[in-house]
Amino acid sequence: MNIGTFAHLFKHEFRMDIRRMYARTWFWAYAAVILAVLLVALGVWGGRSGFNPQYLIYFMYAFPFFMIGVGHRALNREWSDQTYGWWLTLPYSRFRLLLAKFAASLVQGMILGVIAFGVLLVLVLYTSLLHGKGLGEVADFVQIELQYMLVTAAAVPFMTALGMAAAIIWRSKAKGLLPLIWIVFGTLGNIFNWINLYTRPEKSESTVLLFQHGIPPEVWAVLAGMWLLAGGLFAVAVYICKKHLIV
Amino acid sequence: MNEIRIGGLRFSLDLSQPLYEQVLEQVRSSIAKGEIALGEKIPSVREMAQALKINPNTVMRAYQELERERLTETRRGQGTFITTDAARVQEIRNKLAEQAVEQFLAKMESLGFGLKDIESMIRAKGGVSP
Amino acid sequence: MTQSAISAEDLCKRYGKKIALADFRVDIPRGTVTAILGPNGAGKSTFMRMITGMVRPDRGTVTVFGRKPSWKTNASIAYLPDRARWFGGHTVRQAVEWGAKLLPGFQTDRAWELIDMLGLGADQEVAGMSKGQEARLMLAVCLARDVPLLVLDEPFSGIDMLSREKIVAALIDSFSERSQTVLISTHEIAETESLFDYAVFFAEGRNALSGDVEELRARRGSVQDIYRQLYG
Repeated sequence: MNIGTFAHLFKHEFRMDIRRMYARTWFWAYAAVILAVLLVALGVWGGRSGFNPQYLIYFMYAFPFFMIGVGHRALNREWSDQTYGWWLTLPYSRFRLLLAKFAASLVQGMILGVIAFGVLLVLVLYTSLLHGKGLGEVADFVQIELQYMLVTAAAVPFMTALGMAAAIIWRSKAKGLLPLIWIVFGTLGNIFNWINLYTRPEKSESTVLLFQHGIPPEVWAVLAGMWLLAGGLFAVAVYICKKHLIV
Repeated sequence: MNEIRIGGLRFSLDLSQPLYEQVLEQVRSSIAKGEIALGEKIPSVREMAQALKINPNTVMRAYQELERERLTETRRGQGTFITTDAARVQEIRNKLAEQAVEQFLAKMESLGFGLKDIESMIRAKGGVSP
Repeated sequence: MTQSAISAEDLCKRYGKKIALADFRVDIPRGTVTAILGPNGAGKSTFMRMITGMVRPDRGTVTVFGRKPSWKTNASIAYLPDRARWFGGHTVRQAVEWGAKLLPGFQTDRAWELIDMLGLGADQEVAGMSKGQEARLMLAVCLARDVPLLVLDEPFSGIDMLSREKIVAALIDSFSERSQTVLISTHEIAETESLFDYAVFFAEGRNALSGDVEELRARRGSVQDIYRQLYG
């Protein structure tokens, strides 16, 4: 594999995605509005005894689902922009073409994830400072974030690959597999929930920590499994793109 | 196709006949008529193709044939020029005139006119108009 | 046939009930500018997509310079897809960069020459371009490549007259510049027939007629006449 051209393919994919999503003003308008609402809400109700700003972490439940969209769009864009003729006839293997899209989506996910976790941390800091609660809460939140980051890191490649696979399957003779994608998406997508349910017996009611006493080995196995599944899904997408695409 | 003029040459191409022959004949004709002077430069293959809006290969074939007939000469780095050999041009003129006469006689014959009739007709018309 | 640029034998392709190609056979000579002609749905685009590996035949074979089409052979082919758009986020300059970095045989100097000839500016944005301008840009990207085979699928479709004239001029310039095998499918026969050395007439997925254009002219008249004879 020629590293030089892969880098160019990657850069191209990354640029196309960034422009498509983040150059749109409504995206940032939405983000600004939500942020403003949060700031106000936290300012008003953040001081109440029952309110735990750590609940903000639940926003991250949505992140893997968002990444399905990113993966899906990375592929579907070629059809909606009518550029698939150029893309499919590039003198590079389907594997390399799809890998560039996958990598660009993952990097996007990483950057967005860091931003999301960062924003949440700032919000918690803001609430603590505003209501004079001291930095102990913030330190706890960082711990929580680290746990969630780990699970997110496992979920994101899988969900991204799922989105890509769905997009490819929709354009192929294997359209019939699409319901299967939905099933997988439904069962495995909500990974935070599953982990929560799994560790519930250990936890006391008042914490959002996923793992109270360190991460059990079964969970490590599941996380690793999700990476493998991501690779498997990617391989499926490449295979269908090579042999069964309807153009 | 309408008539196209380029570099002293005039072309009128009929797409329902082979183009190569037409380009060739029409260049020969222009040379014979003196529409383009001895030793004068003619357009390059590219320029000709652009003007006529035809495939450069067709133009190239015609140019090669003209070169073979010694009606043109290519000077390296300078382009293609009409021959400076006046005798050669005269040859072509004569050849074209002969062809015209042959065609004329063949046509008259097919209409049923003999040589005597043709002669008196020509005299009556007062010769070929300039 | 080693002399052929593209060779097809008993090529078949169907999409559901629709038959795109039916026992299609052709031998397109090297170094010719070949017209791919026929009404819509006759199989022209499918054939071109097969040459570039986008579509696989159900049966039969097609070879490009003796090899089976794949992403590897596409390194030697400059392909202008039908109904394609260019990347909306690009400027002309970025399009040239894209070509230079990802398309084998791309010559940046030649690209700029063509872009100038075609009346486009370096900092022009693709998003603001008319259909004709976008078509010219895409053609420039294809013509800038020094490759043995150029495949243009309906480059004139829906393009304004001035853009078409510019495209024809750029094509003639390109043919003067280098010897390539060129395939062009078009409906604009009156404007383009004088460009072609060879022609293939598609009808219902078959090769209705093919041959050297000058020979066809001698035997049957202009390409337009032949078109009417075959499909009229």
